[in-house]
Amino acid sequence: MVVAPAHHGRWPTTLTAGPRWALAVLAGLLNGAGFILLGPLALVANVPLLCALWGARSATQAALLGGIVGVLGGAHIYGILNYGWWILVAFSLYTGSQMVIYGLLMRLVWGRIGGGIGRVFDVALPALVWTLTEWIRSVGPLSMPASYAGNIADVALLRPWLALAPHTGGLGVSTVIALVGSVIFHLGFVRGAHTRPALGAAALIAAVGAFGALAPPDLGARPLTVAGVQGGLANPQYQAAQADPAAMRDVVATYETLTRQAFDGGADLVVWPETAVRAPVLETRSLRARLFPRPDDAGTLIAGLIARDRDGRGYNLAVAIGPGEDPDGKPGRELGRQAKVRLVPGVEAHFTAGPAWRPIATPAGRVGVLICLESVYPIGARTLVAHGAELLVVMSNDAGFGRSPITDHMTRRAIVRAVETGRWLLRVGQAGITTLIDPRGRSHGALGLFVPGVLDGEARLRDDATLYVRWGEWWMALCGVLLALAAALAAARARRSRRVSVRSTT
Amino acid sequence: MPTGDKPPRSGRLGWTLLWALMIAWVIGLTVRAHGELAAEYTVEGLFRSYHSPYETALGAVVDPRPALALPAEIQRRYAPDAPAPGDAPPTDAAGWTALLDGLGLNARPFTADRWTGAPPRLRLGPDGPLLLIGLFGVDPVALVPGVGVVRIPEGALPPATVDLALVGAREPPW
Repeated sequence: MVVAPAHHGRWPTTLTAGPRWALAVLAGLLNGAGFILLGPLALVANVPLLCALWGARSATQAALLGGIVGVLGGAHIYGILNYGWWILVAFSLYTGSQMVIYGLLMRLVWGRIGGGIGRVFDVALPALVWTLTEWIRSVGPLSMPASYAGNIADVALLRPWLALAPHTGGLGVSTVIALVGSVIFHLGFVRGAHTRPALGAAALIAAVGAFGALAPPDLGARPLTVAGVQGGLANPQYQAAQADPAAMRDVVATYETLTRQAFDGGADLVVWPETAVRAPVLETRSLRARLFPRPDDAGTLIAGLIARDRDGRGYNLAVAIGPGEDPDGKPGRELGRQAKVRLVPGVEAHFTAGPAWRPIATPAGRVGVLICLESVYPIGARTLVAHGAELLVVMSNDAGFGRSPITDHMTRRAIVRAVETGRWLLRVGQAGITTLIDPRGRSHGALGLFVPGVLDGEARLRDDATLYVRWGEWWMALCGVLLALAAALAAARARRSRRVSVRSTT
Repeated sequence: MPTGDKPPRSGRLGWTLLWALMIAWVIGLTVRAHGELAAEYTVEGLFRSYHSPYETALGAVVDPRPALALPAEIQRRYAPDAPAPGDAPPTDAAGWTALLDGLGLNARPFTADRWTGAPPRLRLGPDGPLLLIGLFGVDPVALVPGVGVVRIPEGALPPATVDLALVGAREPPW
């Protein structure tokens, strides 16, 4: 026998299917709009879903309501359509599947614990379950994170809450954002016995913000001048370069000119975007002489290149080059390299994955390199800093997203990486966006889409480890324990109710 | 579980309005997405402007260059030290031959069975001149005046009355 949930309050439990679907669709659209257009919508996006799930008729209905939210939310990442319509369909179904889990867990536990502790769990549960689904999106070989923390990363007013990230990771920030939605639902639509726990949660949210405002993350002490070189070219220009030597000469000349500008400006560290020059640069003396640091340059170049090993395997590489010569007397001395570890399934099938994320030791400091999509996963940045990275660099090529909002979406995720790890982060996009981000999530200048240029700035090195870097996903472990406890309490209550029911009928 | 009562009329209007707004959002977002992803746009590079590629009957224009003029292009690529030719392109085979001689290029009739992408070939035909500069895979790549760099499907070269190979002509790859 399924125990009826203790859903008491102003919001009816007897909604028919039509309004429930309308509310779920609304939640899906709000979530999607929050991911790409207006990040703070994340604070309210799931309120309609909670209204729809309140008193849901069955597990199937709850699962479908959650699923449609995920599908619609995922479909807003339309910028990936240029890589194939099937990618967008797969991604939408992927996010839909996680929200099916959301709907099911809410149906199984929400309102089913009873008593005072039950009402506290009722308020906390939407945030705990959201945290679980967001964590699921970040793990596994085919994962694709989409986080609430990223949604608010560039909102100055909400920066105090972003300051939780060095301690809990971005996941903790997402928990707080999801908790806001739950508080709004329980205070605005339920009230009654849930008012006190909801107010308690609101006070907790306020306390987190106060803590973040009063104790913002440390910015570091050792200054370093950095320069991001943005070619500003679209993918067709690279495709033309494969067909026409004149187009290839344009690409090389672009990076030659901008890199020289960066070194002449005195940068300690000059960074290219991902696969900036798709010619055999490392093997070609004339290209090395034109593109790499000259003997009298003081700085280091992190070059985004493609290279093959002796067995013909191709790698998407970041190569650190200092002034001087390599052992063969070719211009530029290689200091280290990082091959992209997390390749894009299908799209980068022709590359071989690098073995691990490890910082590159340069005269400018130990630099942790993330290439493109790697910056949306917490594990890459955390691993790099745990192994001693003093500065993070994201080298990206988002030209395939055209002028869609996806590059902004990716940039905001990079902000979360900077705050989580307590590191300055220089994000360099081939077509844009190039920006320098500090450990508080603030941007120090930016180059927009399809604009060639050099972004100069001053970063600072840090060599400490945040709690998140040291403890990893402890926040998810804690949320998991609380979820398991909630489920156990709900199951225990169900068993008690069954025993009472059996006794009363005998 | 009690079944839901039919909501009052004002409630039904509210849900209907909500559905209408959401459908309008989806339509608007679809239009916006199409505009962002499919729109043609010009990228202002450091040295020149780049236009969006497009398809023609001849092939894919991978690098649109409406101002492309073959004489200047040949000089820039294969005879950069020679004086720049005049703006007006030759109108016949004799004129083209004189221009190529003036640039110091060794133009000979192309007679080989296969072309492996070199040397470049100047073809004159009823549709006008074009310069084959190489292969992309198996597809010839041509400079077409007034159009740009065109990738022509294998076997689809337009007919030509004159086909001159610029023997020994090479341009730097980068």
